[in-house]
Amino acid sequence: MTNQPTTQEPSRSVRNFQNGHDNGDLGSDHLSLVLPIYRVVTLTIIASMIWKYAYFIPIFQSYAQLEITDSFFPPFLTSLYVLAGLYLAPIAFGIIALFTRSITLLRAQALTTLTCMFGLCIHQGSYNDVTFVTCLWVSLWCVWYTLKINEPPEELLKKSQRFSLLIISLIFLGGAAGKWTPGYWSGEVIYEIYFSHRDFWFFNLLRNQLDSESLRNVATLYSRVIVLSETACAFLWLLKPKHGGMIAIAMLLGITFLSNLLLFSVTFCLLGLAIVAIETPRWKATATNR
Amino acid sequence: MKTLIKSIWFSRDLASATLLSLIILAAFWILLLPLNQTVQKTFLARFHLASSSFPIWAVQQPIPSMYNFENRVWISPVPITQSELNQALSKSNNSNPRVGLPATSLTDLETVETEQINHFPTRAFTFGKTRWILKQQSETRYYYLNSRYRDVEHNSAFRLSPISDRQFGVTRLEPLSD
Repeated sequence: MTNQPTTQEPSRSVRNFQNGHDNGDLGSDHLSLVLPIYRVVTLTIIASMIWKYAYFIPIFQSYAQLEITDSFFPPFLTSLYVLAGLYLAPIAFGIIALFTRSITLLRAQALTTLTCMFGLCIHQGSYNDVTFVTCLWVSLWCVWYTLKINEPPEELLKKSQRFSLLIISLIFLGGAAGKWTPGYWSGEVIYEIYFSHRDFWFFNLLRNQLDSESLRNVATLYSRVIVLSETACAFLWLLKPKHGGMIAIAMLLGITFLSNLLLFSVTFCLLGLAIVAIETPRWKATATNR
Repeated sequence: MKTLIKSIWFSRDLASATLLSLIILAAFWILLLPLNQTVQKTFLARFHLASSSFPIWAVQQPIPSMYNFENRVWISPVPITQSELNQALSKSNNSNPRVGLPATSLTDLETVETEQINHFPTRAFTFGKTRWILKQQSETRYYYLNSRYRDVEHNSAFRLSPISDRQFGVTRLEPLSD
């Protein structure tokens, strides 16, 4: 279930870290080992946020043109300025995190990103977009990672891989449980959302090739495959991180390429966690190559 | 997993324990969905912005729920009754589906339009694309929403009326009933 501890001698950088750690000093070697993983995940959060920018800009413009007054939302959570701030801050802080080596700054960035993602999940203009839910869970992982960044790299990597798979599994569980309904099992819901009119290469191809009855049957099959595979992926956490991560990558790419490329905004950050799960520590790779 | 829990326990690792607890709590809540009708009603109310208070709704928002439930919206230029809706439905079932025109495009001002929504059916009037159309048409619209999870369903109705040329107001109405 977890990476087996190596029986080989630790590399020089790990020994340096261990010495530094014993002295209560966080050496630069240590950061060189643990920061790349964090930066990959941060980069995928930024990618998730900016993937749909061309989609978000006209939507933000429409909010500027027409305000919807609804007593359900506190007024500041209907403000366009608040929405813009919540959207832009994680991108700006994320870019800083790609370059800084200050642990304090990294912690502040992770916490800011988490706060903004929660804000986006409850703002009137963005509550319905799952992008911000997946980014919220990934930014929670980031907060945890920055808090534990002083741990020995191997220990930190093992834990971060377990948590990565747990979060990916949770996201799939949330998707699957709501689809355990007759409408999804019959394919009716997916047919109407995607097969009947969605302008996407896969559905256009099927509409051009199949008659209406066959199209309906394919929609049923497609919907059942989604329900079953999402349910199976809710158990990825039971697998070895490397295997779980590879299945997650295949699944996330499959969902995106076969339904809607805009979904990359939802899946990019999860792909970041999946990359963490399949990561082979550099000190292990170095030892193996010797 | 056992190794992770042991390591967290023996090292008194508060940060990891907190993260693990949040994941387990969210998973537990999701796993109750197929088992408990109260949980189902809570999930459905969340999708209709109908939780008992904003904080109760907000605290549920991190729960992943993409493409959940069977959600449908009907949009009408005038208030309708359930029987009128049923008539509109049978009419639309007899006609060919309109390719490339989801109902939220509100092209037809005379009849009831309907659409299946992947999640949060209230997005039919809060989300950006529909706001352009509301602004252009500047007419009162009635939104009837239905979400279903197995035997449990949640209905709600909303009126969106222009307050000014840059503002529409939402009024919650009694949901349709026979």
